[in-house]
Amino acid sequence: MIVSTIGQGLLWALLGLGIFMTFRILDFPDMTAEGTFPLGGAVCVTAISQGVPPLLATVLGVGAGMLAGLVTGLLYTKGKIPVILAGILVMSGLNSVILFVMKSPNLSLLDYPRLQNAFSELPLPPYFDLVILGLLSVGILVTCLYLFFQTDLGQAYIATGDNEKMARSLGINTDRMKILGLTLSNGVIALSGALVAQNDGYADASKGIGVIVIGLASIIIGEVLFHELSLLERLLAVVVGSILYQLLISLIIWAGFDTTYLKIISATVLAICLMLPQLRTKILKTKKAGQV
Amino acid sequence: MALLTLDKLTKIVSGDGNGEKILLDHVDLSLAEGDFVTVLGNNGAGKSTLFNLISGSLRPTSGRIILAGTDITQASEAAHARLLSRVFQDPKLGTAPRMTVAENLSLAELRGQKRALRRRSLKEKLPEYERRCAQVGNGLERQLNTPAGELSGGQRQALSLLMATMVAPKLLLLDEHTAALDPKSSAQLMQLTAQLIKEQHLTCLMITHRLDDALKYGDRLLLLQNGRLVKDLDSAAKKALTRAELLSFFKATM
Repeated sequence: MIVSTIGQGLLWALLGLGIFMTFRILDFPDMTAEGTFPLGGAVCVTAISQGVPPLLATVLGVGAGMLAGLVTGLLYTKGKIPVILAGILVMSGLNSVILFVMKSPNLSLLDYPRLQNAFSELPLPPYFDLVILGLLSVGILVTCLYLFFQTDLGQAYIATGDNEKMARSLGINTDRMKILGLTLSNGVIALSGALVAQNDGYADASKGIGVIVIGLASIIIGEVLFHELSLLERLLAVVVGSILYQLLISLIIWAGFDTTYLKIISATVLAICLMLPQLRTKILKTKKAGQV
Repeated sequence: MALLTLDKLTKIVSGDGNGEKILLDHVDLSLAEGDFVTVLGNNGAGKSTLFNLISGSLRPTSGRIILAGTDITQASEAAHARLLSRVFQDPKLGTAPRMTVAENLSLAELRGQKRALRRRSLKEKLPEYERRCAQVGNGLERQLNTPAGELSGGQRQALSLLMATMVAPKLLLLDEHTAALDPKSSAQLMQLTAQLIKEQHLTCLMITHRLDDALKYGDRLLLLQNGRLVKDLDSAAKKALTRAELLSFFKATM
């Protein structure tokens, strides 16, 4: 069970990394994620069920996610709609797109091939194909992000989130950076959705509900556990956070909690993690005051 | 030929009620290359509006801005950034807090240029950055790998100034860049400012509220009042001006 959970944690880590690109680097929350995650799964599963090879179907899912992100970016920067509202609008609209693509609220993969089947021929214990797929996807993405952030364009992207006024005064087209960020991050989120759907064996239009909480939990758990990190380490902390979050959820299910309450448990875990840094500061201050 | 020409530059915005508010009223100005001009005025005189218009973060209601032979009145902020740079009053505005000092300087090296997917080696640049930071004299050169947000106000503002002059701009706008600093840091930064302007032969417009600085630095003095340019003193008239005269003139415009 642990191996399977680690594999799932790696696939969900892609979601965390996608959200990290906007929430932590560009410094705004993007609600589109709740639409692009199931969209990636829907496009991918529909394509596979139409005979498209899994790799190409996954790429199609990513492309659909990028398009959705681009729409949010354009609504936000050109349409001057606040980013949260732009994300909610696109997320809401994507529900219809998903139903249009799948022609039903959910679609099963049945016996169609999946991306992890590429590793099934290898002499591996059960669920290791999933772990290899997860490691490969996360490895490629983290490497790409790390290299991107070291380029002139990547540095301009970081600067946009860090101090937009300064970035603009240096001639950086911050609107373009936001559109780029929303497009890429939603592509990554859709990739996560496509891989998770293949692992689950089906795509579901309602799969996106609460995914932002899961993505944020991965980021926050990583940040609570590790401090003073370099950018590469921060990316890896998201991956560790995602695996730990999935392990925690598995533990909760294993302990016999009713899965009906899974979302509220997830939200509570995230709320506690978000409060931890402040609680820690308060405790340290109280201790110091006591010493004086 | 003038380096900067402002031709009847005007900015009008909607007021709190139904009326309109004139922030800048038909300002005409001509700056020659190498001019170091100080700008004085009370709050609401139009100093920041003037800078926002010249830097492209605001569009004028009417009038023209011609810089280095190019009409930039309707140009994008990015197009403005190719020609000029600006240091803000608030040290927090001029730097990226989570990026290191070296990364901030690297960003500034590409001011106004297209940012491509080209990887940049910061290591190769460190000796050059160290040399530039050592000019400041406040230990900035030892903090190249420190996030800008962890610097003191004086160091951060010095970094902003170094960033603004990393690639010599056609025009340097200093927007009360010493106002938020303590007297020692302020004096240090003004010295550095004068040094950089002289070394790079920069054309500079500097807003200040410090009368002493307005008299000590620069070779021309402008006084703004209610959005209008009411006084333009050349080098000789500025030299002859005493602090008491400037103060009384300043008080009279309040």
